Amino acid sequence: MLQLSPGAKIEEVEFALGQLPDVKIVEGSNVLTSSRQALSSLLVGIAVFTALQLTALLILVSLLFSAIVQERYREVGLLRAIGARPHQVMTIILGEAAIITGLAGLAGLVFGAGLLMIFARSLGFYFDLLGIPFSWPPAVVLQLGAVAAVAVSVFLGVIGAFVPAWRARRLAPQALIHSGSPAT
Amino acid sequence: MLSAQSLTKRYGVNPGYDAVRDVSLELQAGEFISIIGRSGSGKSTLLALLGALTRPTEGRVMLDGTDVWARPEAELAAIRSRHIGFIFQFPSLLASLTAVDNVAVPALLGRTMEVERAYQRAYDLLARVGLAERADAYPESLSGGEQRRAVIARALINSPPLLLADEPTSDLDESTETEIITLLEELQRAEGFGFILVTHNLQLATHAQRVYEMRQGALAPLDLPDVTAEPGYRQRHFPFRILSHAP
Repeated sequence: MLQLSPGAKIEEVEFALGQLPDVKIVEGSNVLTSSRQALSSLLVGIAVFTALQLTALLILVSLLFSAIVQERYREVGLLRAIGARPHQVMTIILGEAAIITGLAGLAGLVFGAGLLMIFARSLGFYFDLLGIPFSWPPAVVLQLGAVAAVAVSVFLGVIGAFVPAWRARRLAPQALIHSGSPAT
Repeated sequence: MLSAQSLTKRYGVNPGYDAVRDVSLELQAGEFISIIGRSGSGKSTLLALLGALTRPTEGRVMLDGTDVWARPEAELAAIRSRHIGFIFQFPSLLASLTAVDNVAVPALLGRTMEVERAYQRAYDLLARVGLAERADAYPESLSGGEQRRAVIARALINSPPLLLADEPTSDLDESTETEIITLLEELQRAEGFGFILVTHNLQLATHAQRVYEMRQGALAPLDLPDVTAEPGYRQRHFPFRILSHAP
């Protein structure tokens, strides 16, 4: 339809296209261009912030489970004393961590979905006025995103609880019983 | 059945502190022995060593000819589950489980029997210790004596050949204390397990076939009938609980 030679100017292209029937030339607004650039920067910023937040969360979860497991040393010691195998102790602690952080992930997902809906009705509406329609990603992307978010939560919980669980696994039952709080 | 050979448990280093010093002890199947001594004399540590709850610094614990601490941790867990029942001196039921769940837990953890059979035996044992009506109660609603009975039932769920009781009546009143010891004796006669009782109470200790005394980590046989007849012996050696039982 249109062939450009090297060194062709934008104005020349516009003029040439303008000669064609049924073709309307719409120039990108500076506002839209700067919005796109700002959103791209925002996305990169959010990605970096999320990575830092996940690292901080990992440390926090590890400290939290370290305290939780230490508080339950006597209970763990009792279980070991009545025949629990070390891997059963690990499974119990890591299982609890997975359930707790998985539920927390689900709660975060609901909260995030709520924020996204608010965004669609506020900032999205504003962009719509500027000619940038807000469109939801395909359902499959949303579903995969949700599953990935919960999976990352569970993963963080399991990794965070691993060291305290491993420490509890290695201690003798007597040491666990005498360093823990009462079971009942 | 159980043979402790030159057991020493040392805490700390240079020079450290020997909670148990060079203790040797033999227990035959179905035998009942008791160990008395003051607080801090090392009784509980010795019982923990015999029950495979803590590794000795020196010496060996042989159970049916097997060096317990030479086994890997997974096998140690099986030994604790199948061969040893342990009654602690503190309330040791898991608060989030009912009495019958607590009793069934060792069988479920050790996979020593099917779930249905484990619960059937748990109910049977609770009935034998007089808690048939309290099987579905949570520990917080059980009295001290009832909790101790449930712990005894839990210790016997896998029919262990060895029962170790670490001051099982320390926080109970006198009549409940006697009830618990009588119950343990009846169960021991019925089940035929070897039984080691650690206690402060000389009167309870005398129920055993052999009595030992623990002093500063060392264990020595106590020839009870003769020495306790000596005027003032009990007050000199066991002023803590004996006073209340002294005639």
